[in-house]
Amino acid sequence: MRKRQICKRLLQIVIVLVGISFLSFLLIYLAPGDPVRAMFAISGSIPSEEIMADIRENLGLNRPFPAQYGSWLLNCLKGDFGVSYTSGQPVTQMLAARVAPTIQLTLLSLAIMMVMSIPLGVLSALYQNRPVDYIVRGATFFSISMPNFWVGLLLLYFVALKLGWLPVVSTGMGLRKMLLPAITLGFAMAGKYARQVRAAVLEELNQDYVSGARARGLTESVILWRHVIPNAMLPLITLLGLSLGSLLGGTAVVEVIFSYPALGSLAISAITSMDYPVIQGFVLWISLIYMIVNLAVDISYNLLDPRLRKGA
Amino acid sequence: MKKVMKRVTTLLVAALMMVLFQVPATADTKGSHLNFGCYNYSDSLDPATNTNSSWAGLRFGITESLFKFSKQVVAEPNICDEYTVSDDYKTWTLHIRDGVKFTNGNPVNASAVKNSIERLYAATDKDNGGTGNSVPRGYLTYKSITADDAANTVTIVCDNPTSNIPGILAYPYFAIIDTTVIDKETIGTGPYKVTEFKPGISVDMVRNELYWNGEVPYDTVTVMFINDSSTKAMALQSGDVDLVENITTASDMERLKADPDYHVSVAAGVRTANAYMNFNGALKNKDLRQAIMMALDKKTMCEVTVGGMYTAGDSVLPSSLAYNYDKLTNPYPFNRQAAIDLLDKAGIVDTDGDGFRELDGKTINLDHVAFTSRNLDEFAEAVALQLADIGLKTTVNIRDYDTALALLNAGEFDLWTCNTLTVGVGDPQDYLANWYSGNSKSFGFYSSPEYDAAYEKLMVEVDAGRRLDLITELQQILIDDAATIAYGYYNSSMFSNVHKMTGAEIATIDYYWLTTDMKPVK
Amino acid sequence: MARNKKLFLFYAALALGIVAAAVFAPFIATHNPQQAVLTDAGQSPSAEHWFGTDRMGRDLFSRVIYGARTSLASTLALVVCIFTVGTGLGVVSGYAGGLADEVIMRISDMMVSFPGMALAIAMAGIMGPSITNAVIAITMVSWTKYARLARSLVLKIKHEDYVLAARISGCRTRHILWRYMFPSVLPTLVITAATDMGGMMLELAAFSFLGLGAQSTSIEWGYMLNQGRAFMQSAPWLMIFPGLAIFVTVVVFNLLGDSLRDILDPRDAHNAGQLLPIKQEVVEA
Repeated sequence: MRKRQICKRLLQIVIVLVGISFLSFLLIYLAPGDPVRAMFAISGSIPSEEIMADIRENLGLNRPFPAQYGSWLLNCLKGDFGVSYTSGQPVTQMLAARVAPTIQLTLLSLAIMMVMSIPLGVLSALYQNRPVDYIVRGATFFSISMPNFWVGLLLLYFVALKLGWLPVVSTGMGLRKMLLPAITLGFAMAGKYARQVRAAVLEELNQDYVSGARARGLTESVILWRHVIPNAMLPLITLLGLSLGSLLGGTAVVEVIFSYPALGSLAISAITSMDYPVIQGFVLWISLIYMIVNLAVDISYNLLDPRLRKGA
Repeated sequence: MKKVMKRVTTLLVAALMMVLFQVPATADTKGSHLNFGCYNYSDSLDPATNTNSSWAGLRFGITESLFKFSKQVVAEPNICDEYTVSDDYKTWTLHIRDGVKFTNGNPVNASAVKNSIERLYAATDKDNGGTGNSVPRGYLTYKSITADDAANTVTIVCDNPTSNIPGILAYPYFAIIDTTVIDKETIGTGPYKVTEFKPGISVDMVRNELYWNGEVPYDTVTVMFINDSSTKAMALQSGDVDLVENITTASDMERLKADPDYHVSVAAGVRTANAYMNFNGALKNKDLRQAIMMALDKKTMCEVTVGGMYTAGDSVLPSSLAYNYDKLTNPYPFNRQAAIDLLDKAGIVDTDGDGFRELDGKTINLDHVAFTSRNLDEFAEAVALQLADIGLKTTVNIRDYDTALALLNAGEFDLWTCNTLTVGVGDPQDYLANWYSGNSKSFGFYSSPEYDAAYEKLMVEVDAGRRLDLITELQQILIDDAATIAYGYYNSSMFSNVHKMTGAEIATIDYYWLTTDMKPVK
Repeated sequence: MARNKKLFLFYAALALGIVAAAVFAPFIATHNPQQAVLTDAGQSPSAEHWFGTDRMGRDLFSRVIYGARTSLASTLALVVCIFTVGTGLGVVSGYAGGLADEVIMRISDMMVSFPGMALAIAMAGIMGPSITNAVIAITMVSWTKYARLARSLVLKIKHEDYVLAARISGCRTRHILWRYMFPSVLPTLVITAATDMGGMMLELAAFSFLGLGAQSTSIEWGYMLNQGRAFMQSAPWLMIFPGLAIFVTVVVFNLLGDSLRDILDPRDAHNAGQLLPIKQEVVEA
């Protein structure tokens, strides 16, 4: 049963990837301007029209769209995403260097987000409509409404520069260097999650089994820790998967602020230099990583939760 | 249920641990280490790739040239220790210093030098499949180059009489590299050797144990690419880096100058900021160019907009150099009303009521390419705002340096703002060649018979006094033609933390950043 | 309930205040926001320049006020685009079923299983930086939420007696769509759109901050922050005021959206701000 499900998911991933690849190829195909001209504009000298026509012929750019897409996809499958216009390096190599920092930053920010949001959300639910609740809800508003680039700039200014606690530049890796970017990202998400945790805990508290447990004379803390919180946390794991996706593609802002070299800043610089193969590769890679991570989350979720195993 | 939660938690903690412990050990755990914060001028270190990549190798102490400029801008022997020249200034015989080795241990002998130079020309030969964008031919074309390994001499026979071979060979294009491995990495003879180059992120280097010219002070060096001037300043203040180049936010510079914890080294202005104009576009129109000149308040731009980082000027050659700046006259001083009147009179007016003027029935929209180094983006934006005041539309197009350079070479711009070293080989002749019609196709297609004639005389003139007259004449022609927007002259700078290091001085000709004079504080 | 309404009115008044600031910007601003007096660059806040001046000598207060125009207009455009595209496709998908449904939902699956911001950045990058392109790019990755919501709502009422009656009595499809389907999905979707305003504003500002949205010719808060960043130490007001403007506006619109939902949809009131109000429907569909 489980195996079949995983196979189904894998098939789904393949279909989605093909769709994404089609989309990103289409983007470049429809991009304003002539790709050959763009290629040469980057490398400095534009040759005569005849030479460009020759190159177009050689690159197969005169072939019909499906044929072009097909051969491009075939190369992608072989791991060949082309060569960067600006640096002349294989795109695969450039992206590969940035994958680890991206994933590390993503995971650390998720961890920070949970440390911030879960206790607050639970507290807020337990003391519903009391001062603590109002304070927490006010705080979540801050988190949701603050532009994360502004938070980043303020942290950079106060924590890194004025207090000197953490580095200003996150070039190179290391926990200390990742902390500020991760806090920035974690803070932005924490508000949403705290609300979510609060809602989930409240919902659990209203369940019949809680009144039943109370009737059986279980203490409040046992009810809370044994039943309410674990049940409230489970749906959160699915949400984490979704956040992972938005994080993988959405860290560009803090990467720019903290000079953190991950995929987002590579994409931004590729965009300023109109380096289409890199942009294309970026889209494909991000979706691939995202789907693999999500699959892993699902599988582990499946393994962890016997109920789901049965349910499937 | 509890069990499930426990497993989830364990999983997450495990994932987190993986993150935290999969951190590569940094080099600064033992020995002396220097962190250098620097703008990312290029994604390559190969001298053939483009001008910036060649400079990067020299500046980071990875490569060296046969000659090296002193503080007084005199090219002195370096890897070449002696030379002779024929009476017609065509045949130069260079003796290569004995015992110099590449950082990988390969010997630097006459044939290695010959290979390095020939490879530079081959890799930049566009007609024969070369892909490099460096232009060594702009400085030197030669008939032949031969190596005599027994005598350890290289003989170069130039096409034309060339009096300045030491200056030319000191230029970063001519950095000596090991051609046997250039496909994989850039190996030079400098004090430091690259261990890992991550384009756009950092360069990790270690001491070159084989260095020929004295002791190398640091065990390891990390060059961190930081593109924001203010971030560079902050990184220096927070201790993330010990040394940074060219902080261009004036207020940051003032603060660091006043702070005894930092040493600020400033070089005399040998760099000009100017905007090339593309004569294949709307700017072919002379009235338009003149109006642009008159619309720009360069004094305020230099003193206020960029906070005094530049000294305003009208000529392409810096006023601090001895090229008769005082004898030049500018017929188009700042006068906004005159600019407006001129455009109105020339019939360049706004007929469709969108607030911007048209030329030949089409709204003028000047594509102004710039990059964020040395306040250039600020100049570009200030120009756009001032041109808007006289009804000219401008689109500011900020690119990274490599891309901007490519757009310049490809002629895909109307205005192209940059900051250039004017006496790159110790003399402005090559810089002035950018407006010589033989070369100007890469710099906006300016063409003036008068300028060409004077420039051709300069090419063959060897008398210093007559050269000065010609250089003065060339400058005046450019001003009269409104051929380029000169903004002002820039002073390069280097900032260091005095508690961490000594000897961080900027060279007049700033090809040399990480030198062996930079030492850790004991 | 009464308290809810009072709060809503209060927030609405605040939001109207911001809209009014945008509309009447010429009367509020103390200077021409595009007037660059280069000699006045980088002044700290004063009686003449309340928020100081930027590095080109433009009055920051006036620019922040005018910036409300760009932010509000572009956010509104974005929300309307997403709303129209999403709802339209969702209703069609739900009502028509069959192949149309299959295609639309598979595309939307693809979008959901993809990090949207990454695609939006790439699209905005390729189309060239401008606010319009940022709006298009974000629309392309965000419409699916509305489509799914609209579809599930349509599915719920599609087989109701009155719809069947209308169909049997020979009403044309278009008529049924307009008369029954759209009205029934609108309230929920409007609430969703209202609560999304703040978030969308942040996304657009982030695009401009990255240089993929507004360019130097337009007056936009995110872009101002991007420009002010370099002067963080010497002119912190360039970073503080535009950031504050975004923050305040987003807070007001978030509060307004939440209180609107509390009024129209009291069922949901106890779990304010749930991340995925449509989660159940997603699973069920």
